[in-house]
Amino acid sequence: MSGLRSIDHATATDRAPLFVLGALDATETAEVRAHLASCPQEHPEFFELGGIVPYLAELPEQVTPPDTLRDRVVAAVAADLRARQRDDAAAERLVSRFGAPAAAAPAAPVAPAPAAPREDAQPVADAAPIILAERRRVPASLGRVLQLAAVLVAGALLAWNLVLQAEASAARQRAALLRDAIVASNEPGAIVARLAGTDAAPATSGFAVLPDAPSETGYLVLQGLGAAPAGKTYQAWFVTGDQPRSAGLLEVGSDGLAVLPGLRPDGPADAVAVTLEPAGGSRGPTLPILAVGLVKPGS
Amino acid sequence: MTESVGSPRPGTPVDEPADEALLAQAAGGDPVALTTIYERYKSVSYSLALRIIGDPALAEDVTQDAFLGVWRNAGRYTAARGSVRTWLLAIVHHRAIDLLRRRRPTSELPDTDLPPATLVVPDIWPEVAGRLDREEIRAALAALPDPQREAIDLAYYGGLTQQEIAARTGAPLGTVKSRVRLGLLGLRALLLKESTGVAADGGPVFGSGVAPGPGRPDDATGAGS
Repeated sequence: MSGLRSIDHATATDRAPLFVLGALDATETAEVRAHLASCPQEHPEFFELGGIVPYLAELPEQVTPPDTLRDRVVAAVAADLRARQRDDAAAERLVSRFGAPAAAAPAAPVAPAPAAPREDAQPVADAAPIILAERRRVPASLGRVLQLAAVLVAGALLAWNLVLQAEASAARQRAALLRDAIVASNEPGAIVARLAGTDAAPATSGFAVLPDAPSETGYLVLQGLGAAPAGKTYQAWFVTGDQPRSAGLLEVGSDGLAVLPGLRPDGPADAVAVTLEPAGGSRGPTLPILAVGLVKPGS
Repeated sequence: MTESVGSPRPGTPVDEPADEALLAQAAGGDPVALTTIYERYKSVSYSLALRIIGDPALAEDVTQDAFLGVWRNAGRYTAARGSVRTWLLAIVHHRAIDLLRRRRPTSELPDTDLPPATLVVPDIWPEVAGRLDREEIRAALAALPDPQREAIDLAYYGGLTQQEIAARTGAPLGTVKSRVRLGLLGLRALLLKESTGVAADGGPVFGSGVAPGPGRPDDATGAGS
């Protein structure tokens, strides 16, 4: 999407009436969404004006659709459920094919992020295949987490008014990076892999946006990883078939997020995965896989 | 099962699951829950799609697509997004507008005319007496100054962008924005007057037997903001 830019609070507010009616073009809409995700100020106008939209939705003369539509919806849902189950099975096969055979004891799980562990989290059994933790669950809270992270970054800017110029600039750059990643992931046709944590890191989730042209780069954003232990680093991987190749090293920032720009698959990728490696990275992934996602073509 | 305007839905029998529970079940992978949601909202969804698109077959496509979207995104719904009904209709609206725009190669204008001030009341009127009905919403819309109603209609039902509305009406962009803002605020003032208040989720709660007042809003500029 060319011409996407960062808009200020006044511009976002000015666009509110048209935004709530869906009357902005794709670029303007994306700019407003990106602003709302990263602006710490309140936006009461969006809620005030948005509150009228349900009335407009209810206004048209009511017509009952034919029964055949119900059949079509039921069939579409059933097909989607089958596809989802196939994806889960494919992701599990992918995960279990990495590195050491499944019978080997996986490395000790990484200390999870401060988020509370899920109530149903199972300990990783020695010889059990790696179970994907609720892989189907889309990161519903990711938007809020990213919003909070951006607020934290913005709050840091306000509080640290004596900080060195370089540090303030870096924080602004990071907020801009997060915003760019969110916007890229929301573009129509974006190639996205939704990352879900495995049992080794169940609180983790995120996404990777892959570029659709060789000259461009993508992003990987992950939340829920604690800081890597001393002497270790997180590493991301592209997986094609069952062949992994490095996508780069990840660092967890002070906002609790790991953001990796400059993602270049240099070829097709079926999946994206994240592991913990010795400092400096490895040539091949070390079990356990912490997060994984299948690459979905843009829709 | 009757469908009625607004939320909450007092007509729901107590032993039927609430929308949120059904959505949570759908998020967990239960297709029957999604089918139940479809049965509850099929008419209001299809009607909105039909109003926007005009063609029944395409409206069916959009409705099917929207409920598939509900199924896929059920896990993303939270009460912060409003009622399930509101959220679902927003999905329908978004997909309908998307289709409309994709089928418009240029800034061709939609065929639909502005709704007349008084519309034909449908034969089957599901609302229980005393609840705000479509007539009252239509009356509020009719009470707006023509340019404001036109701008809202072109945007919400016509799917026109602000640039396209400006081109159609010959008004500058700033005026288009202003008309939409004032129109929405005017509707808000009128409709909230008819109701007993605003529900906890910010959605409308409808009053009992208040006769609609087709007069102009008290303050032509609507609530200041």
